[in-house]
Amino acid sequence: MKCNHCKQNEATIHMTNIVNNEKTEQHLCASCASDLQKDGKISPFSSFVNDMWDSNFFTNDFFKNMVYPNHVLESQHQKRCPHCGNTYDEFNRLGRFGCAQCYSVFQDQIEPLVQRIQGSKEYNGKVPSKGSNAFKKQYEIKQLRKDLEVAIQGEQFEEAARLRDRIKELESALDCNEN
Amino acid sequence: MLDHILDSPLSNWLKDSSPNGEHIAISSRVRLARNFEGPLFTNKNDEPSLQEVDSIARGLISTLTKADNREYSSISLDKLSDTERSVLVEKHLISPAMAEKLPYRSLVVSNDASVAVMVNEEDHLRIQAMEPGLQLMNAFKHASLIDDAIESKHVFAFHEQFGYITACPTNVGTGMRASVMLHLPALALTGRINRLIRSILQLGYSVRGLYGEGSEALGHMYQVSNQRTLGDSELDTIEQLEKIVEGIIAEERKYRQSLLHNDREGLEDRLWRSYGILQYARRIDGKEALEKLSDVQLGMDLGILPAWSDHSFNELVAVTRPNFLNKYIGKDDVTTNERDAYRATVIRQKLVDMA
Repeated sequence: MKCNHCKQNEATIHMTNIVNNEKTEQHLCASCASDLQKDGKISPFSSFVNDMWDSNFFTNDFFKNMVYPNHVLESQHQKRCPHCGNTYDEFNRLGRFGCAQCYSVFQDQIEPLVQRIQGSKEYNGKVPSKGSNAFKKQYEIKQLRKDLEVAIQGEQFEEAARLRDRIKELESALDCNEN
Repeated sequence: MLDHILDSPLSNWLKDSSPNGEHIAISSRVRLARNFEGPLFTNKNDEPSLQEVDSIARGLISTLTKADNREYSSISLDKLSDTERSVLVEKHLISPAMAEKLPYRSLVVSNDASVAVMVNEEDHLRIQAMEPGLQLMNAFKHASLIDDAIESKHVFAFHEQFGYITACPTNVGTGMRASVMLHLPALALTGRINRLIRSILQLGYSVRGLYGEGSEALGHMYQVSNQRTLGDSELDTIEQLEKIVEGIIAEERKYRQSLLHNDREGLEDRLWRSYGILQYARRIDGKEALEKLSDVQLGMDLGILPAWSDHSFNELVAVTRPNFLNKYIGKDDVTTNERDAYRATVIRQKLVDMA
């Protein structure tokens, strides 16, 4: 869909306003939305209006301005993802990455960003069990290490020994799978 | 199959009455965003990638059937008319953005529409599972079952630190958005809703109206969902959201009682008037229909008005949607008057059938 305002760019911001029960819809590209917002023609809150499917409000230089000091931005300017060819600047503009590899390529920038928007940078959920179960085991090891720490601090040495053995067991299983 | 989805006001999954027989929590939905390892994300508009994802999705039907014993079919969006696509949006089966971009976009959907996988939306796959009432855990289990079935055949992009990789970092991690649709007339009528919304936002959860934000949502319907997808596990997120929703339901009940207590006659008057309008109106627009339906359902919940069958409210809410009605009437150039007249007839008929 084209932007309602400039009628040229692809609209990436979709707004539904309900004022006195009158519903109006606007579809804008990032640059028009930003201009209109500066002119006070749309409320800053409008950008929070998005459907459950997407989060188009994270566009423009929103992330960039929020998270990074200038020198970091300069140094990262040129780096490209070898798989999809995107730069981090392109992500800033679109609010979307180009492929799965981007997360590894731009990991250093993504970490503080994700920390900021998600309040955490450590995943803690369901793990794919595809193939060798390697992910699942790695997660279990990570979890067990935390438990081990707690056990040692609490001077529960029997429990610690049990955990240590379990970690070793998992680690050796992982080694086999990787070979 | 497609015709059935487009023509019936209510998806089958919504017909199973909600477990507690209440009309405060209308439906629960869980969606998981997933991407494959190789192909570029859809925003790159890379044809080979779109094609690859499309062909993977087409091959999924038997896998999904095996997983949950439902029949599945695949619907290519470019084969549908504008009206048909809009109906899918109104039914929350596809996103508004998806209705516009057509080639290689499809929907893999179960025959009862309780599972819908959007293909080549913002993420390669968006797996959705729906349940009536407050049943987030069941919806999650169902979505997760589908997720596992697909994952047994294809590798999803997964990052050790960030979890499931998504096009937008707001979804990265679990890729899960869990939401509950709530009917909250008493909180809205007593003006309590705004404060409640603020406190929910502070907890990191979001509240939206049925179709977009606004303090007074159409038909007093609100959608509450999680925002964060990283840090907490799926189960923790769902447990928390369920607690929040239970809290909201308790508040709604409390304010229903206080409405009754403060001015029973005034409330009865309002609800019976709305009932009267729905019973006798010859033309009614979508907005008014939603408002009156909300009143009537409240009246029934409180035992003031004669009750209709369990899923009538949901069914009639569907009938208030313009594109659905167009499809129902069966022509594309329906005038507003025709539509309003048709809507009034459908609602009236329902009330007559009941009497």
